[in-house]
Amino acid sequence: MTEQATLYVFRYDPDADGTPHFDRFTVPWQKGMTVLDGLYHVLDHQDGSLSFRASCREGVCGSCAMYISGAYRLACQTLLENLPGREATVNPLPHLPVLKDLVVDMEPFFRQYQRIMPYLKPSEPPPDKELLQSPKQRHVLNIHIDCILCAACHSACPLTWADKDFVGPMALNKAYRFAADSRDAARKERMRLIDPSVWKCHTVFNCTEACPKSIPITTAIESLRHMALVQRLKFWQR
Amino acid sequence: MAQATKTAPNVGAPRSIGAPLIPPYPLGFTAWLLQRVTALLLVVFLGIHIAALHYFIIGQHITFDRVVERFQSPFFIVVDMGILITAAFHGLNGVRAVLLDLPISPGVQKAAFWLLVVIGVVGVAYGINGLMAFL
Amino acid sequence: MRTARYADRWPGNYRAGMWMWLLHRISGVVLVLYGITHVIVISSARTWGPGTFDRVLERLGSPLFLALDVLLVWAVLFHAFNGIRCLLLDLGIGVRRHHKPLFWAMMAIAVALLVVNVVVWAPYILGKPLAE
Repeated sequence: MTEQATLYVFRYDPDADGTPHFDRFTVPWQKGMTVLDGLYHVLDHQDGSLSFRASCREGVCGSCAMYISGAYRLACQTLLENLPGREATVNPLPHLPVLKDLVVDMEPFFRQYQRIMPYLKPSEPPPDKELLQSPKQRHVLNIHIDCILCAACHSACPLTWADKDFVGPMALNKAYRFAADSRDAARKERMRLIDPSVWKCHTVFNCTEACPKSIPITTAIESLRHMALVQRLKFWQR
Repeated sequence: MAQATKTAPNVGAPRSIGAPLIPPYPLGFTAWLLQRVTALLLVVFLGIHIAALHYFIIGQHITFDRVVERFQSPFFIVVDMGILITAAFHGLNGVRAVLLDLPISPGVQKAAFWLLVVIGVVGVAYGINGLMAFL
Repeated sequence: MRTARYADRWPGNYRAGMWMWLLHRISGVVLVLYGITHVIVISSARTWGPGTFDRVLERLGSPLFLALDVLLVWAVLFHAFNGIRCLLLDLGIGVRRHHKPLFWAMMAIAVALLVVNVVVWAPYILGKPLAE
């Protein structure tokens, strides 16, 4: 008799009965097994209709962020042995529309990503050679560059729940990552793009708590505020 | 029922209810800054006000004569007038911030903003009128 | 694919920052309502004359209202010290690493001041009459 782990999985199929409910699955357990391994076992051996997003299985692609046993986690980085009683309650990300089972509509999330110009913009005219960065200049971007677009912070932030125009913690962290980059020459434009949103953050720290990559997102937003404040005070440059 | 997939977003021009309620003036930054400035002022003013009325006269009734006596000093007139104006701004701007975080349509937000402005102006005038009785 | 549902509109298990945010708003709204009441009460000296003002303030000096004053003082202290915490965070103090100690320090100061207030006013809340 092998050891067992239990998964309580949120199920919702709009094409069938359309009633949200939880299904209980028991899967064989061995040391080092993650919640995602459990979900794959269910998919392969118990219920082929289970839907969830996953790809890399190593915490890099950002596909499998879920609300697991009361916390925002990546299913592939959550060991079943670390959950009490080896039981996992697996929810899709809250505050995003559920398409089926654990798959949510990421549209509202990526719409905010597009708004903040998520690419480096060199000075005009573009330089002939590649732009070099010193280790010190690169060090500024550390941690903030680790974002994998998993939407855990967006789902956790209480301001994105009601205000669909607030760009959200992910977009602000990304905006900081590009604005702080020594190769970027469009800080003024970036400050304009994030303007009403950056002042809305109430330093609730939900995003920082939720981030599976441990990015201090609140710190990024505060740094971004300081940049925006400096930009505001330079009234002769406006 | 709402459609699961929506039409492509209008990326270029996002509608923003946090943005200019009074066009073309961007209210987000100004409101944020003034909220913090008035917060600091209120900590100082209310500290003096509560200390004077709550800790230095423990066990005494507040009467009209005592208030008139306190207002002999211009310092307390400045403090109380300061509280009236900064608290009105800080409180009503706070209510505006609370409303902005609720799922309310921009039209209602705008109406609520002007209602709060009217409440603020009328309230401060009423309060100054009330304080005149003690001067 | 027909409809979209929200699985869990209100996930539980909030951390301190979330509760502070909610309580800050609740105490803020309470203080706005109190402020409006306060202005009306103080203006009674102008509206109905000093006699009315003295009668109202005497009523407000009764043990019941002094007990309610403790709640008001807590709302003010909580709102003030949580507000100072937010100001410090905006200044970049404690935002990177020390936001938890900062939170506990601010709440400790607020509770200490509340205890001082309760100890000082306890006899009057328990029924000792105020001096004329």
